[in-house]
Amino acid sequence: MAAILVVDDSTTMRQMVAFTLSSAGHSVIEAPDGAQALALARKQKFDLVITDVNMPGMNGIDLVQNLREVPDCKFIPILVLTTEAGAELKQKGRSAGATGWIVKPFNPEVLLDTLKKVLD
Amino acid sequence: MNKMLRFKLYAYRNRLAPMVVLVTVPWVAIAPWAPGWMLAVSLALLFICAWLLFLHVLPTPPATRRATDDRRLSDAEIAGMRRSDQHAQELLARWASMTHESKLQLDEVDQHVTEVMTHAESAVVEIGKRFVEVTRKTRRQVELAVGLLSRTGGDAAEEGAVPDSLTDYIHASDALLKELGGQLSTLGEQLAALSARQEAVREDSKRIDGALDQLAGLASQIRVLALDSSRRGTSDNRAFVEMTDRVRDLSLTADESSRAIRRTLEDIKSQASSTDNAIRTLAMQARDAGRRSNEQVSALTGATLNKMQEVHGALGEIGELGSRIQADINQIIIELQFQDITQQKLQRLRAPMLAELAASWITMFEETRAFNQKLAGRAPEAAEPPRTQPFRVSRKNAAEGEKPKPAPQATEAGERRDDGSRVELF
Repeated sequence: MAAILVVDDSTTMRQMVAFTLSSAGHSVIEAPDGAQALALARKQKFDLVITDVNMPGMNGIDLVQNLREVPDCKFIPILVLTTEAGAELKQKGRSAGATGWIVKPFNPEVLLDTLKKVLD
Repeated sequence: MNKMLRFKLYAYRNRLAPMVVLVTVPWVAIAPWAPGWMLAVSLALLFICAWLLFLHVLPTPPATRRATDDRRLSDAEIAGMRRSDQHAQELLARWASMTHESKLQLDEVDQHVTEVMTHAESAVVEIGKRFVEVTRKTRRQVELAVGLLSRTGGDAAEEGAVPDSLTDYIHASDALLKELGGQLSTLGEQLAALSARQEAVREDSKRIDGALDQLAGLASQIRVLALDSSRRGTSDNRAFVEMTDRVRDLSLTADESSRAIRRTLEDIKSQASSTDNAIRTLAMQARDAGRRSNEQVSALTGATLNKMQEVHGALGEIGELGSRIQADINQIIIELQFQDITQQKLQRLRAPMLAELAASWITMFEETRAFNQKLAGRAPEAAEPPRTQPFRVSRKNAAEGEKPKPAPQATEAGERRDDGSRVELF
């Protein structure tokens, strides 16, 4: 079971993701924005990070880029979970260091399958 | 048109005569050499061209005064009123433009809100349906679980009741085993009794052995007596009598021993017969008990297996319902995400659009107030441009980052739902 950091400015979305992941036995920590997520990532070690793109302050792409500079997060999988599906933004995410791109609304089963793939 | 023509004639009233003279000079110059018909046609054309020139080429001068103006007002007052009128016209045009843009924006907002409401309503209906499904399936699970409990937790204590639950069957098996145990215990007791009888037979055998030893002794004594009698011969009658007495005694004793042996043998025969009967009876009882137990165990095992299959089926159904409930919960999660996404999009749309509208209305309000002040005579000659910046009503001018994003397109409920996440791993 993995320790997962979920970053989204929407409480509902965070709760949905946390519910899905904790139901599968994962340990979930939530952060409402990029700054808090970055602070958490510097304090403790996570096995995976799931982040939204459109957030106040630091957006998801910048967060991925900053997370990759944190030693503990250099090689962990980072998934982007967003409503955006544009190729350009995806390319930005990929360049920033994201491992995968999931378009909202997510299907819990698909999310868990993806997690399994990237964690394995 | 008539009013405009009258105003133009009025404005050029002092220049009309020189203009006519100027235009007719070339005609007058060629008149002596041209034929009469040409002069007539060219004169007509000259007037038509002059009229067209006057109407469409000559600009309408800015009217300081018009024919309809009140002659008691000064030119400065008329000019001020003209500027105010022009300003009012511009303001009204702006109002019209802004109202039109605002209407478009409000229409867009209304469309988005309608879409959001449609989405929300659809999502709520879908979530409601899913909850009803979850409730129905959970109730079915509870029913199955209760049924399972009744199958496994029946009351076997009722006398003569037909066993129905798995517990009943287990109780029945237990009772059968106890009965078998009791029967085996009885069999053991009876075998112990038989063993006692065998012991008695052994005792009788010992007695027979004793009697046979006694008889062997008697036979030995008789042989000794026979030897003595042959040795002594007929010499001594007295000794013969003693020997005869002794032989008689021995014979009596032997007879007694024979009777004892016969009795013992009778006893043994009787006991053997009794033991044989007891063993036969026991064997029959054991066979009957075994057969009955076998039949009952077979029946109980079959019924227990059936019950186990029912329990297995019920557990399978409960598991399947659990999977369906999980699928419903997943669908509810998706619907809630739709709700959340729509809400977020609406929030992103609302802030910049309403802010723009508010700014536009405030600008218009300021301009109107300034104009009103001018009309009230506080600054009649100012006629200065509006102090506020030109308002913008279009979202196209908004900063790129503040652009509201369109809400998800409302389509048919069936088409709208994208139940599977689109995943792309890099």
